[in-house]
Amino acid sequence: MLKILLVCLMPFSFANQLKLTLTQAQRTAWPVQVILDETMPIGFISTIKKDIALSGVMVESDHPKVTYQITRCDQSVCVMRKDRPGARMAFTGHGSEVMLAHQIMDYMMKDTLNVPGWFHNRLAYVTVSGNNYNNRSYQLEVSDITGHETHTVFKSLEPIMSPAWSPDGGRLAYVSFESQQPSLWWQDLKSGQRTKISEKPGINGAPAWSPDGKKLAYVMTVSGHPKIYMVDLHTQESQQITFGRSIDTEPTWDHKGSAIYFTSNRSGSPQIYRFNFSDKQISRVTYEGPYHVRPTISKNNRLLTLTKLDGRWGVMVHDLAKEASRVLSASGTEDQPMIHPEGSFAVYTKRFGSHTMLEIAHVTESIRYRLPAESGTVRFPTWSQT
Amino acid sequence: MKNLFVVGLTLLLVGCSHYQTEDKVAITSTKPLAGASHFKMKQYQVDGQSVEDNMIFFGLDKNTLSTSDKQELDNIAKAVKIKGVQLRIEGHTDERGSAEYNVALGWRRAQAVAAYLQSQGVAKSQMWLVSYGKEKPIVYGHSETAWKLNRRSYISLVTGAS
Repeated sequence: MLKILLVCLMPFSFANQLKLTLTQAQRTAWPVQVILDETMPIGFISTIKKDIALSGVMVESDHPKVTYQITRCDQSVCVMRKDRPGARMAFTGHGSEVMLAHQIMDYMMKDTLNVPGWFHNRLAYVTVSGNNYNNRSYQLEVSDITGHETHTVFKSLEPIMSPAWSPDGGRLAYVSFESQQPSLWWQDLKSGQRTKISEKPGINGAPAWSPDGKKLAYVMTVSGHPKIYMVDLHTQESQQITFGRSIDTEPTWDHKGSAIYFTSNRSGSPQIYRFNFSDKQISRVTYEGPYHVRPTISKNNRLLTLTKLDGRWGVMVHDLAKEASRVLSASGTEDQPMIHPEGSFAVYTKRFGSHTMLEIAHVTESIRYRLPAESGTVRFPTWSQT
Repeated sequence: MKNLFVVGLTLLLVGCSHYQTEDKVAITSTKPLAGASHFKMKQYQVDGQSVEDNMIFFGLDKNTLSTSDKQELDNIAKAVKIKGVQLRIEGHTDERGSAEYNVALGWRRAQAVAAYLQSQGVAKSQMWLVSYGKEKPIVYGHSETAWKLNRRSYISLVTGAS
């Protein structure tokens, strides 16, 4: 059964919100039926229908293999599977119709397909508007996975780079050039309060939270060369992790907190390396191809996404266990890949004409879709981990 | 246009307490950069001596300075050496490659300029290095022409409040 699904969300009233187009769906989508209580809010109903289509692995059908009934129950919403009438799951969405739909979608994906859902995750990214050198503005934004519920975290007339979610999803670390030089900050998303982490002469960049949220790996040039450091966010004590004269950057923690993967040109061209905390040893991870940068890793510490140059720029996924790679997209304009923590999807930037947009691709299937900005450029897409 | 420029300068001064500004440096005029006329290169008067901004362009993945680059830098080095003013040295790259790796490459370019100026007698403490990587292209565009203009180091004098 070949299903090509096309879904266009309604145009938004705000310039920087995202519009989403599903371009391809999996060949063997799982047919489900969702019976909805008609008194449910219209925003909820439309969101859950869109989520099913967007999943690429589920499809609404009159000949379902599984049927779910969604009804109101007490203060929440309950989901019941027709073939298991006794079992009811209750959801609240924390007061948001859209998030409620995403939570239920995740539950149904997990329940029918044993695939971790990712609709509850949020995206952070930076939008750049203005085409003139003297007239650009930068906004750090957070939205749900479909470009809804957008809010601006920080705005500046100078570049904003490299947002990174704290593991609990409550804070974003990022780089800001607001003082005409890079400084590293974290910002509490609820209160909006900003705290400066580092503003040493030179680079202060590439922040990455440790899995326990207590430390931050980042890059400074205090030694003269871009090197990886780690700061304890409680004691403010910082220590140097890598040494020497090479460029070391783009640290990312493995999810046990026992190693840091990073980009280094210590062998000449940039490649991915791994620093082990236990023995302080550094080992090379990527060999095939002359240029690999920007590693991020899945929660099971098995899949890395990377930007590669091998004749043509593109993004790829590298399986550490199999030592095998797969190109996700290589039109020559892809960048900033980030694997979803659950490891089934990756998000990256890709240029279409004069616009740089976000694309999400399945790491093994040929499912991919775009979240184009209505104007300007979208950069640094980052999934929340919770 | 002029207002924007003033705002930019104010931000620079307010934002960077690291700079030791020197009241003797005054901007006398600006002139458009060849190939990107919206970018204004500044000319200064430093105690009666005329000095200009420098823009050094680099080859792909390169941070080496040509003989003519060095000659231009010699000019700026002389003024800075005598008057003790502050230099801001920016490093930039083209749009290809990851953002943070490009910040590191831009840093290497700013460093190459600083190393040469140091060899010409400019003190390390007089130079403020900033890498923007690919975040602040002079021109948007995805052609070799655009890339060439964006692989650069921009050297300017830090001006005083007057």
